Amino acid sequence: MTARLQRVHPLILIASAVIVAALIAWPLGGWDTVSLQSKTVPTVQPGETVAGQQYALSVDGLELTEVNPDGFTEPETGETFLIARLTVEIQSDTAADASSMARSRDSPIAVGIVAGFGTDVDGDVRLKSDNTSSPILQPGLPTELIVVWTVPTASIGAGDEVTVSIIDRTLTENFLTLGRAWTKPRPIAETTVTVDS
Amino acid sequence: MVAVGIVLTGAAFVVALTAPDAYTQQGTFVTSAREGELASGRSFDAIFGDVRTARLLAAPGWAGETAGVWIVVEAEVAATTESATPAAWLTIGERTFAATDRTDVTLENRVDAGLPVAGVFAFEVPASALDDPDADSATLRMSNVPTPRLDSVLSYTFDVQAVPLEQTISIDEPKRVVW
Repeated sequence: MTARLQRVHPLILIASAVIVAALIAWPLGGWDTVSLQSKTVPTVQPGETVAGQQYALSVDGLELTEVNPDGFTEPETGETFLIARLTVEIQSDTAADASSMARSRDSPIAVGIVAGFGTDVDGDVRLKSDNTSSPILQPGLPTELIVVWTVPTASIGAGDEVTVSIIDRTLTENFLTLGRAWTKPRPIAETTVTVDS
Repeated sequence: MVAVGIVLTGAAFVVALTAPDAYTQQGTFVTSAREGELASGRSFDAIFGDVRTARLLAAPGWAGETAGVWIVVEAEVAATTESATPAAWLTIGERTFAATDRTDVTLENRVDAGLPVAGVFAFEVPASALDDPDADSATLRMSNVPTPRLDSVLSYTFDVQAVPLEQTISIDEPKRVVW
């Protein structure tokens, strides 16, 4: 094999390598330095609806309050309540429980101060209109929700700008059990919201 | 001997290809209900009645404002052997809606065995659902869990387009009735 290669003219070997490299690079966009498009998360305005596979939703606002919408939970010392206002429409044809929207591992929104990397935080989801807790989302019916989390007072203040990621998931068949579940979370948009008091 | 092997192999393929899928194996046993007639399932007996639609649903101390419309189905329900909570959902075309949990004044509350109560199931749906080509055969299904498997389901089909859209429907606590 080595003897055969030695019989080929070095210029032919170099030209071959260049041609192979060019053929590999061409469909990938050439040798320019480019950002990987699959990692570019689009930015949207607050209130702008983003449609994914699981939900079409808009982040309408964030606010801090000492008064929990449940009417009885008092904040501990050094804590306050962060409320996200959302308009949500499920994209599937079957009604779904909205309670998962406040669990960081299932939620379609991620607020950095609420759940850091590796943490799992739960909150409360309510209908904006009549304060129903953990409401049902009906197909084809956009619904205004509030999501309530407890956060450290020192972590956020009125007037702060907070980036909220909108997370989408894919409906996949369960591996061991019968049924389907939303898996493979990925950010599909980001919005920056000014926190109201 | 070879022929027997071929036949058995072929039969195995036929069995594999015609075997019901997992969803069918764990499907439900449906009892169709007719308006005003008693229908019986494993967990509930029920008589389904009138269907109404409205823009607003009102109960004592609560007003169910919605961007859509309400479909209200009157029914009388009793549990069969032990107290249970009915779960109802409504299918119109491709879409399936769950009975509302926005008010406690519906039949989605604990029902006692042998003690029928009269009330309503209420569904919040987008207005477009009333114009669905399949709205003339909307189907309410009722069981004791939202996703029943290998269990009985009462099914009531009605024409939601045949009823006029009212401005407000007022509902009240379910009341005991005698069958």
